[in-house]
Amino acid sequence: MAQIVMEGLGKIYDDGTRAVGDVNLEIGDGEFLVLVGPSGCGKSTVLRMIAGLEDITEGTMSIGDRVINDVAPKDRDIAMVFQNYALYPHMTVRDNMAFGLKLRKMKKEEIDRRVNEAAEILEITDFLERRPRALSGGQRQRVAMGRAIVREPAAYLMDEPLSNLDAKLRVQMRAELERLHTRLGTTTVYVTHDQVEAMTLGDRVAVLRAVSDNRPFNLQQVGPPAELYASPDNLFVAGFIGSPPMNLTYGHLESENGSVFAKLPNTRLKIDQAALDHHPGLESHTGQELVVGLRPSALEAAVVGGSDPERSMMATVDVTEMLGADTYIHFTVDRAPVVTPDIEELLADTGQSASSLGDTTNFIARVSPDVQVRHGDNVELVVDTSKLHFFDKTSGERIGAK
Amino acid sequence: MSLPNLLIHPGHPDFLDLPWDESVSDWEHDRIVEMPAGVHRHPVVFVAYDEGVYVVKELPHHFAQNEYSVLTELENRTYRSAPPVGLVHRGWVDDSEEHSAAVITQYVTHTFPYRRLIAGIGFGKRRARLLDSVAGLLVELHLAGCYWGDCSLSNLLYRYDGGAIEAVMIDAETSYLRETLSDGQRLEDLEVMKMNLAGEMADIAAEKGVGIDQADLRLGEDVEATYLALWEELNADLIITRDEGFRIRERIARLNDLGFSVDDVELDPTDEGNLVQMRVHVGNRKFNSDRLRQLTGLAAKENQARLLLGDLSYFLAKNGYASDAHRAVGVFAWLSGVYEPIVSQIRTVWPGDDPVQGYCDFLHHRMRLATERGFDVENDEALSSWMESGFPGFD
Repeated sequence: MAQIVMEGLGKIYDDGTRAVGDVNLEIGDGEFLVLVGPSGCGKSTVLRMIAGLEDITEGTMSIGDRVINDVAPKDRDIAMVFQNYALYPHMTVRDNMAFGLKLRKMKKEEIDRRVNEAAEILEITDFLERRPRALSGGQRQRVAMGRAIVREPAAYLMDEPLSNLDAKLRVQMRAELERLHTRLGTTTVYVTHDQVEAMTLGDRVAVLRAVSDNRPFNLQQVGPPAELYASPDNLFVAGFIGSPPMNLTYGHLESENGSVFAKLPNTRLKIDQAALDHHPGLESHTGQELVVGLRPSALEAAVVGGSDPERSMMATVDVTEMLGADTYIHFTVDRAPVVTPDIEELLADTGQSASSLGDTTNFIARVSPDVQVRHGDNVELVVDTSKLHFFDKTSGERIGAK
Repeated sequence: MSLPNLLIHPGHPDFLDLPWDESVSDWEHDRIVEMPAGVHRHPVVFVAYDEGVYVVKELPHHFAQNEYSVLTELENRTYRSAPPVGLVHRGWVDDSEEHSAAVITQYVTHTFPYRRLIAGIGFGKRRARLLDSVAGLLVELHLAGCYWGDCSLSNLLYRYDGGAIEAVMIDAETSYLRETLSDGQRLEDLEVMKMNLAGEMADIAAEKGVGIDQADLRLGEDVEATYLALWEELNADLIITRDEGFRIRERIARLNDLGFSVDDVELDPTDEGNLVQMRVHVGNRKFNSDRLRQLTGLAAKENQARLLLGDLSYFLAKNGYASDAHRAVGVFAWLSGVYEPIVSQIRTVWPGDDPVQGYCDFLHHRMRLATERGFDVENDEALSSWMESGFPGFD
């Protein structure tokens, strides 16, 4: 069994710098878990701690029922994939996949079994007796993968394996990895900074963020991709997951005749019961200012004018982006961008201040490609008010988050 | 012609005359020269300028950037890696493409690829020297805080160093640097090395038409054993009693003998002050070459320097220059009366390209003659014999 469990995992370097803090994570046997976050968030450090390349200075790491804090990398029964693409030109594909097992003094019958099985999974059985130069680029990459697969490790670790491939090959390889994981069913931990890659590959996604003095932990939220998208626990996750990112602005919560409304800069929206159910205790914030989030996909251009004013907003088009399947409409709302202590910290990281952000906030609506609008047009956008998100403006936490 | 973004260390050509709008594999240019080279994963060319010969290696931008920055920082920490000269970025090419960027390094003189050392399907008599060189290099890199991530025979160049072989790291695309490496990083680097060496040895066997069972798959494991013994020697804590100061001097002498300089000696009282725990902070492996340069001004590789210092000490003792007062005179007498005349003859007749190595080969021959005869052999006679015998080396 190859369950990976991290309990209170932390990493402090000799100079006192904390890279990882209080990571508690259970990766199930056979699960494909993606660690995602911006540069410096600690995701690669966590992966290297699983691999044994970085010492664990706090907490414990277990694989199966064994604590591996002090176990040498080679004895952890894990394989770092794509670390080395070298294929040896004079050896057959079979020998290229087999020599590592030979080095481990495995019996010939067992080596043959593993190589044949891996070749079948990778669909390269017909090439086993050929030399690498007779293969296409994609086939060579499969042979390289085969070298990791024949080890039959308890878990695969992958650190941004696709980051240096061109866009087309990246999409192909993503599909290949997904198919491979389905066939092998081996626990996989995958690191990427690309949230699209994370959302398409992971059974679950763990969003990490760099630790700071007042936030000595990295893990922001872990869950299936759809859950992170639908119920981000805080503004960091809301802003990081989803492309284009969630639109955020300030809004007052108001109550009238038993209904709850969000007063936003351009409109006053009646909050759907589903959104209220999604944010337990939201009504108790009536009269307060909150941060309100709308995914671009929760906005749609009205087919005809005169939509319910409690579920729509008017926008003046700044820019349109035609992407084929969708069109993005960029517009602004008359309110300075949301700046919580969290975002202030992010701004400080990039050398900016809140005042530099201006008096308006950019919004994006993802609408049908049939919508024909241009710069300067006024457009009525229908809002799916069952999909509104509400966050505490000081803490950045989702209202009603567990 | 499109010009890339070029970042060049001062003191080198600007490389603007090279045809950067084409991939180096397509270059046809009068600056291109043939040099001994191994098998490369990326396209490589050698270009000659008045300032010297340079290596241009093309690789995706991300890897090129990493290699350039690691080699640049590593140059401050150790001297066993290819000196970086420049980073080239072809902004008009997608960064994931092989020819999106290039790293320029100085060609490391007197070097050759590992395939020149092969005898049959293995390394024959040179095996022990080869594994010493790879293990020694890994120890030095790890002491310098460098995790290589792709140590292989073909990612190294080799040069003769007295009776030893010196290995030089030429590839750092997967490497990173830390203040100090963790044990896990060092051990994983050894695992990668073992796998790479096994692959290379299996490939050589396949090339010679021999089965994988005949390949020297143990080479990497033997490098690992040598590495671990040397690492233990350099890093083991020594516990001594308060009156055993001589053991500290012994330890330092042993480390110097291995070629390592000692930066600091840390002494911590233990057992309520009855014992002292000694830990040594080891510096670069150029103790002898630094000492030779200080004494004589000569530049030599570490093991060459050890042999030259031995020859110098023998000369000083034999000719009454051993005391501190006479040493400077004796060093001058050795340089002008022994070393320089012999090296000057070597330059005219020896087929090799490193006259210091020629002098070491001559010393080795002189020792062999003396051992056979049972008495000292004069330099003139030994030199004639060495030349007449076809300049035998350490094999």
